[in-house]
Amino acid sequence: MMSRRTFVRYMSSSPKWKQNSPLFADKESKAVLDKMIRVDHAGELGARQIYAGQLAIFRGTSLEPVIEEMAEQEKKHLNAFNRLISERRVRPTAMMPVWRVAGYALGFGSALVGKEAAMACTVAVEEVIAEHYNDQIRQLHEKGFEKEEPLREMIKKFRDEELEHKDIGIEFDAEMAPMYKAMSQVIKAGCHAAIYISERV
Amino acid sequence: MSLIGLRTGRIINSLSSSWRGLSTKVSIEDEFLTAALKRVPELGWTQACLVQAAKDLNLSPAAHGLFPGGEVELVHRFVKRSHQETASTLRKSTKKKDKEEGLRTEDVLAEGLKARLKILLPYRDRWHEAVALQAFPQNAKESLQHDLSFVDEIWNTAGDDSVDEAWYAKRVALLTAMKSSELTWIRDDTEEQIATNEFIERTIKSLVFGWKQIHDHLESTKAMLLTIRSTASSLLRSYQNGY
Repeated sequence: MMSRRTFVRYMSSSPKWKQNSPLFADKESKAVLDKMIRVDHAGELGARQIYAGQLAIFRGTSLEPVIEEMAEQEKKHLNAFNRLISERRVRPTAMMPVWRVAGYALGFGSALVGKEAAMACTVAVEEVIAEHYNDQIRQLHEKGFEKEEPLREMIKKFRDEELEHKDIGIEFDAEMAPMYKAMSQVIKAGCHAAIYISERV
Repeated sequence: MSLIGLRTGRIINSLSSSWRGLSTKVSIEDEFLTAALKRVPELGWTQACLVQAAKDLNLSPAAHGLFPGGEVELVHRFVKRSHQETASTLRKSTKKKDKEEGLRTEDVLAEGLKARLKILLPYRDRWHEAVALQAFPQNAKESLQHDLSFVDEIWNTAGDDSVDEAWYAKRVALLTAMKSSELTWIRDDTEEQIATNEFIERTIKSLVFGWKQIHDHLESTKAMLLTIRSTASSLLRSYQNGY
């Protein structure tokens, strides 16, 4: 319809609510960004639930402060995406209730098996999330997203924190978990499936 | 005939864009929409209306190909424009109100629905035809997208910031209110559509009140679940520690 340049000029002169409104915004670039924010929001909710599930078991043990710290960071991530969802007018994924239960169950279940298994679960999940953030950082680097530099910086910061969590998991003997390889493969596959679904539904 | 018209329309499209630059093309389509809307009360949402609009603009009758989707595209484009206009007026009036006396959700929602019907008013006698066109299976998806964007806009103006299932519940509820008030409005012969306005206020009030009840109920269920969960996990911990 409109050339990109005309569009950018048009948008920069319009108020903020108009720029994000589905009634006015450029459909194509909004769809790309919406998809990103939607899946990240779901992922952070899942992460928070996993740590909540683990904490239910490890409260009062020596692991509590470690997990608590990671959980705090995930909460901050989730809040950031909560804000983005309403600010950018993104439809949240319809799977929210499912991820809420599934995340908690995964955290709780792995913690039941033991401390190493819980950490193995953390490592697997955080690895997939960090990888996924890397894909988005690359995508936002492409042409047409020059204005999204703040979002890119935010995702970068979150990715670094997820990678720290992964390192903490390895430090706390994740690799000593029973059937580490198999378990981490299964969890990773689950995360990939969740990402695929959350981007679409 | 219509195929030839379509193709000619495309040629006109591409010619006009190469002649006068892209921004002109947008305004031609806008102008065409405005011209067609003037003819809608008399000719309805039809191909004939598009042809007449082309004549009115001194374009070749084949220029109705500017809207390759035909009469449905006319409806969709009008719906989009009316939603945009409603959204803009609603933003302005709520901004003013917010400064003066603060916003109440139910007022914003009701005002949004009323403002939209006000914009549709010139086409009220023909609106049932548009509704029928929108309801065709092949058009339903786009119609629904337009309507969902619209109710999303109203909720956002009212300050909604839900990020989970509530997001869906609120939008579906408002969409239902919007569609049912539209059907009331089509057959409303009271002066200045007072009956419809009353209907809207009633519906929105029960929607917002009902939502508050559901919300309170959910909150108390959540609190109960949390208690059960923490009791269970503390029991489990003490079991693991050998009591």
